[in-house]
Amino acid sequence: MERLNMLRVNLTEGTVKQEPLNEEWVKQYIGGRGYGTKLLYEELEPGTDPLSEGNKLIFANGPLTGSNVPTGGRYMVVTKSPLTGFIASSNSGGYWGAELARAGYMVLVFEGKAKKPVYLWIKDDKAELRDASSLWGKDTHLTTDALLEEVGDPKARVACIGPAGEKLSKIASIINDKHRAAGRSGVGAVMGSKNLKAIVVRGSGTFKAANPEGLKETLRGAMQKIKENGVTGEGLPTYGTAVLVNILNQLGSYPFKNFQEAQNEGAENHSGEKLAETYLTGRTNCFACPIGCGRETALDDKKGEGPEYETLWALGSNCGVNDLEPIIRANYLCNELGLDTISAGGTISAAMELYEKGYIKEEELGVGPELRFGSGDALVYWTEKMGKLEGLGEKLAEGSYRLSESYGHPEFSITVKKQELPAYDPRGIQGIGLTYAVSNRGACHVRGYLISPEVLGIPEKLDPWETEGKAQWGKTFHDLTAAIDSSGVCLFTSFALGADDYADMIRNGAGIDLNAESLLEAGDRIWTLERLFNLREGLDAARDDTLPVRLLKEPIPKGPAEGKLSRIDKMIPEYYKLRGWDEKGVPTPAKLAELGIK
Amino acid sequence: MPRVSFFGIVREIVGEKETLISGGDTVGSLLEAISAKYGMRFNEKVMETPERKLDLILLLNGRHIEHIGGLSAPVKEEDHLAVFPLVGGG
Repeated sequence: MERLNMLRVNLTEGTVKQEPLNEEWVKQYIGGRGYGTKLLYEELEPGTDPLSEGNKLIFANGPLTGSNVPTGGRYMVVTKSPLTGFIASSNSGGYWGAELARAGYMVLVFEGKAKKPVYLWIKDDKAELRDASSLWGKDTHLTTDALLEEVGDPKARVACIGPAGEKLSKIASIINDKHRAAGRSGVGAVMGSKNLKAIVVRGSGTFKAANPEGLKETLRGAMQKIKENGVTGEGLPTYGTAVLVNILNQLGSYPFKNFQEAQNEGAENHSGEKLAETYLTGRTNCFACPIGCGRETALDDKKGEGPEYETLWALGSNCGVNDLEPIIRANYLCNELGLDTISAGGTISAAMELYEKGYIKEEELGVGPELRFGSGDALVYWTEKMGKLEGLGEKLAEGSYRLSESYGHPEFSITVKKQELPAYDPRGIQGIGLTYAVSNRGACHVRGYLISPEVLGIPEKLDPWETEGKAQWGKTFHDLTAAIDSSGVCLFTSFALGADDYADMIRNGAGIDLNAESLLEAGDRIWTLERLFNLREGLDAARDDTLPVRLLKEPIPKGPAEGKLSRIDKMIPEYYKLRGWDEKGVPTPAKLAELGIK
Repeated sequence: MPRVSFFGIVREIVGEKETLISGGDTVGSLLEAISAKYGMRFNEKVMETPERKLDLILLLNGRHIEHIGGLSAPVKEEDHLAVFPLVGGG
């Protein structure tokens, strides 16, 4: 795998072609999220229906995916989102991306639509489309097992969709290695719309660094920092992400019952500490990961991974459910049926509010349990119906915005650009609200994780209630994250590493000439190109770069952050200015020239 | 008497979820009172030592102490201190 390539798969014609990567794009956009965005921007016809044959589905590794750089196993799925109508780029770990790199590829692009269900089987330089009719309708676990048997290689890796993606749920995910998800923005539905059930890959190559001695030296320092850092060396390995439940709840910024409140008296019952005492059976690592934040759990005869912090909150607190058992069951269902856990929880919580306020009628539930906050039975039952698009589940599978709008009350959908919010209340943590509002892929916590300075104090402690200075923090985090997401490395390393470390790793590992400054500039370029994509697809800053009205008008009713509202209006104008965008959020010609975007 | 809650690895070290502790009218003196109650195991593993420092996140009534005066922040009888190890996630 000295030289990585791209595979272009035309599903309409049934052809698979190998193409070289565009070297100039690699220099400008690195790989992963950046390269995928550039490819989509150049090739997608503006205004394309995301679930039509015209959309393109791109899987893009970073140049460090499959390397010995710590956590170098990430890939990104880039496409036009059926949930938001804007750019989708969903990141996943596990082992699939690294295997794709071992087979010699950095990018896969799928075009058109297969006449019947197919899967792509890649074994080094051989790639072919195969019939997947017998797998259609099967969940992600059964699909993975069946495919590994069919290709006759238990060491192959599978990324696939479940019934939710097949039936075009706008919150469907792509699942690889059974438990890892490219979760957000409905990328699984795009795969389903193309009749593409899975991609199975096996490679035999090994990573070759551009500068082996330089990389060795860089990695020595990086490993030391990861090991010595309190979060990556101790916090995440010991408790995973779930330990955040109690912190956010104590801060009074842990949304409860569809963001009607921000503190949940029962949160301890589904906390990381409680999980460790009860259902936790072990920890798991993704490819080349020295951190190991993954949690292995068991319930009855099932074993699975998670729930992670976001899932504990989305399926738990946000639905008013505090018992771990139904949360774990619903989490397993999401992974098996191929649903994004954040959007699934955000949609069920909206449905619960719609039901309790009398908009969803009892007769619509069929034999299902009442959609009441706190009902674990309702959580599990409706997650399954949503993932299978059965009964009212078909409406739920559209996501909370379309669900709430269909009842005439879109205000119960807690979304940005129609994508459900993650687990931090922007009323009590101002900076994260800014990053949600302006996020190119809709509400997202991992585009600019300002929770790090605002809550955890890394790299320094910022007051979560203040707005001053947050625009600059938001921009810097957005740019750095875009570059990390393009490299193939996990964002969690950024608790310990800085821009100079990533630049050194990419330069020595992949031979792309970057320093800390040009790395951040590449991130700026990627972020700006995503913005241009969205503008071309009709983004209106006043309508789309905002938060749900509840967070702007309904103060937190009680707890430490009582009375707080989000004040994104104080931060967004400054953010646009720092980006070199005009007051309508459009990049200026001067900024585009500076970034070399034509 | 101020209420103190422990989380994550700190909970395992002190062996309980919550306690009432008197003797501190600032966060700093309350931490000293906690050290006195839990002795060496708390001091060695939680407080700063030459070999190792376990960073803490300290919330007084839901506010990070950094924004209310740090270790000098005043503590009243009905106050609640939450003691977390440095953790992270997404």
